[in-house]
Amino acid sequence: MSLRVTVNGANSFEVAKDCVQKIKFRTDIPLDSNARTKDVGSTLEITGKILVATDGDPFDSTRQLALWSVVPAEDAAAYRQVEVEIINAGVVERKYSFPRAFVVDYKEDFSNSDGIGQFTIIIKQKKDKLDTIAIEGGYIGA
Amino acid sequence: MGFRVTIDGAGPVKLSEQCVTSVEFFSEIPKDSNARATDNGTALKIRGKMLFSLGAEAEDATINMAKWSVVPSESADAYRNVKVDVVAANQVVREYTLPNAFVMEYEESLDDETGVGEFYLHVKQKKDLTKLTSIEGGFSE
Repeated sequence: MSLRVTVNGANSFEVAKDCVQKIKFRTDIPLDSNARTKDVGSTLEITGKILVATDGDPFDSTRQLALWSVVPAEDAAAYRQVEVEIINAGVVERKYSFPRAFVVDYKEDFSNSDGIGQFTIIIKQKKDKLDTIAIEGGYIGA
Repeated sequence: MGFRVTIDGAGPVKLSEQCVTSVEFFSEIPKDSNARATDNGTALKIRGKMLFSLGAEAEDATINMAKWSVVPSESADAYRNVKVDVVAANQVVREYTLPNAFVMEYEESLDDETGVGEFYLHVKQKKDLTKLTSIEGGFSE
């Protein structure tokens, strides 16, 4: 199974399949709700490796995630289009599209023995734009 | 012991014993009650695996749960009928039916190692219709 993350908008980039290790897609409403509410949020949690390009790879895409996480709220670039594809044996099993996504948490971890870093990014769809989330899957494609 | 989950409505979901790993049923009553309260609700938590068939031969039903989880509250599809069968040795131990269930939580997690994903669905019966929840059981399938 391989996971591909694409971020479009100001400064489009793709996080390589070699980097992404884990994806969590989550939809939550307040647990004390008595009926379906408008107060729904959808979250994507992406964990992966920060690979060091030993032969001078010019484009380190995980750095772009870090840069996105510090974009101020008044900037239009704070909201971007995120697509996550989960590809298993030639079949796209899931494609989550978050067209108005913003960063709620970003973390990078390094240690002196690993040789690689680890990143975790948590993004959310802008809450009033929940109906534009698309979830597709089950078609052939790579 | 196996579990079968059926969700009706737009984009039906049918999950078999192969993918559902655990089911929890809750009858939620305020813990600070001094007498029997009318403020009770029923909920189900379902956990399982997302089995992706090679070559997309069999349809993957879990995608319809993911789509259900983002249905806005004004849509009639937000409430669906959820039925869970707990089956052991040809006996239906429990058959829970929540006829007007809505999604409280939904989570899918996938990684590049296991080849299957995992899902977690938490649904609750609309609270004013709690009495429509049915709990059957003890019959042969």
